[in-house]
Amino acid sequence: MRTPALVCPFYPPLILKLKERDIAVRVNNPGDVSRAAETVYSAGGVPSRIILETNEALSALSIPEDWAEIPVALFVPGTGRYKDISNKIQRLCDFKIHVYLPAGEAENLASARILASLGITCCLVFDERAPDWAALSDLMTYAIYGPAPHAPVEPFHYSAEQYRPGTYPDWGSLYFDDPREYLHLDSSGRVALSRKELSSGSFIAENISMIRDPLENEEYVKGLNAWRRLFLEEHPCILCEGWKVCLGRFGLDGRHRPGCSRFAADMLSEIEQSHQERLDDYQRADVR
Amino acid sequence: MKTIIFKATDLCNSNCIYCHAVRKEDASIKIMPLDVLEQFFIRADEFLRKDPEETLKIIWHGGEPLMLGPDYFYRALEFKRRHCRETGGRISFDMQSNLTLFSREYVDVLREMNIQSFGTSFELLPGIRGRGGKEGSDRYNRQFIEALSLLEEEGFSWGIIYVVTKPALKEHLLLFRALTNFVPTASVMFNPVTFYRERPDEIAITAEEFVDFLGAIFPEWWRHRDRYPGVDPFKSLVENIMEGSDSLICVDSGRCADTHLSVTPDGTIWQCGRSSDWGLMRYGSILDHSLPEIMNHPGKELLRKRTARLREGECGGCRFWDICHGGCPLDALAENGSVMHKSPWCWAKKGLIENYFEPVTGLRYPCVRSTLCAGRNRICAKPAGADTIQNNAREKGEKTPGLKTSPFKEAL
Repeated sequence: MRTPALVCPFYPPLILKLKERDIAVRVNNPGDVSRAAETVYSAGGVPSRIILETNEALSALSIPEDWAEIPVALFVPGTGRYKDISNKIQRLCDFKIHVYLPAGEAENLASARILASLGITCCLVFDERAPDWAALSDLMTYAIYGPAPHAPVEPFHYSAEQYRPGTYPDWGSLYFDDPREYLHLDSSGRVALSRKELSSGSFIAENISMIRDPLENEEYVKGLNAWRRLFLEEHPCILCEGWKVCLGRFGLDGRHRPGCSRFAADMLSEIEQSHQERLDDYQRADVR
Repeated sequence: MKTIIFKATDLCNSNCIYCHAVRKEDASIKIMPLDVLEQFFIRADEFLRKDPEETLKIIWHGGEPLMLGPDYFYRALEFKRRHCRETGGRISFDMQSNLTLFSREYVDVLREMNIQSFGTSFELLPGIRGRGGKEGSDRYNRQFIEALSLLEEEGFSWGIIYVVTKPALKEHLLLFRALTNFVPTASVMFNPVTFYRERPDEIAITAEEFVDFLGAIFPEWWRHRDRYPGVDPFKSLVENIMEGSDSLICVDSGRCADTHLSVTPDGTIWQCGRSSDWGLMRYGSILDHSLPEIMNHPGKELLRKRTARLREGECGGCRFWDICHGGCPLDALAENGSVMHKSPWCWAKKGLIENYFEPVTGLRYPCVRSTLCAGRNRICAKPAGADTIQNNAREKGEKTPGLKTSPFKEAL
């Protein structure tokens, strides 16, 4: 299996110890984005992504030239006024920036559509606030079927691309929440399977050097496919028709039902249809 | 191909409420001794040499086969290499396991045995699988789920056989949803719980109840059959009825006399896994008899005669004969005291088709003009309801998946 990338706080003494690893660094200050990337390079590693979490709207942020080659996950509460973004659009498009927006804020659904239409990759964040499911459904249809060229709107684009009958398009890695792709470190180097477990102090190793082959770590293996634990809890999500494209993520422990359930079922249907249409296209191309 | 249900152990780390294997009264040898294991491969080689066209599929079963430990499987491979030098290529392995003991120690040897997928079981209802009670079920399911993660990461696949018991009857759709959500490939087979002598009221079900359980699920499955492609008995039914497949499971094939055997830890040979669990249809021992001798045992002859007799007698004129053949002889024995009758569970197939499959799909089995196609296709001409299904699909803007490659579609 591929070695997971490491998600760490911006703490140079820790990062410099993590030699030659793919590293995602969490920062809160826009000014730390470039410094974090440089620190990873200094350690001989590759910045898998610099995760900037800020309370400032996108319109209030400056996108400096030195972000050009840095993959940035930009978590903002909203976009702010468009007239204040217009001067940043070129860089947002050209740089490796993904804009993360909370789906629970109604105007963010419209913003995601606009940004995507401008060529900026967006990713919706599902938190404790239930989204407007009808508006989200429109956005999902646009993301999967929209005929005009547009950038990906996640997690819809990923789900549609990854979907195969007989598999689950688990989009946790978009949010750095999949131990196959990411492990999380605290500033002392202790290892957790997810950010949630990091916050709750649930660690699987005292440091990353203890996990040479992740599959040899019993706790790591137990943590894979954490969604299956919901089956042990008789969780309502396990009965949902849309489970395959959600794995309990839209529902946030069932808090968003029944809206999320209907939405996920629709999403699954649309993704299945899109998959079938692509297969038909390939077949037609073969015939030609 | 001969299928051998290979019960090298009767030991199990679980105590599932419906399992006969762990409740055998007369099993003094719990793990097959190595000399018996070696003798089995000598017999296998002898059998395959006599018939160069023949193959053997050995299904490690039990008890729980992973109770044997990895070394036991290495010894089996060693015996196979030693005694089946020229015939070993015609021996394949499969495994039915509860997987709770699966660990990295097994990975190499299972790969060496070319086992790529596992048949297993999962139960959401408490008190049915595990050591007993809800706590036992919870612990069992936790171990099972943890083992699945490793199994999948190591590249093995798996599917579930779900045993339908009385508590499951009223949970039909919930179980269908949960199980197909649980298994990525939606490879789920629903089987009824069956008994020989005692039928515990709290879990036993009738064929009628089983039909209604399946019937409650069928419309949902049919609507989303591309989403849940691996759900049986529906998938097989569609393959048999709409795609002309002749592939039938042992209980429906009418040929189990020629296809199945079972071996238990002391080397005793039985008709099949269930017959060994029930202590019925014992044919001898691999220590004393060759496999060709066993295949000519009078008990096997009786089963062959059964098929012929049922076709002319009890099952004469039944439109489902080609896909049922009177059902499992052991069920007939349990019900009537003789294998020479049809199984009371034949209703499970007949009722499912008559009450649910045909009304829901608009198709009728078999084709009324079957003489024209000489039995090549089970539905070879435009059957009743074909227009309905097409029109319904057209109205809903749906495709008609499952018909894509079928002779039925070509006929349309």
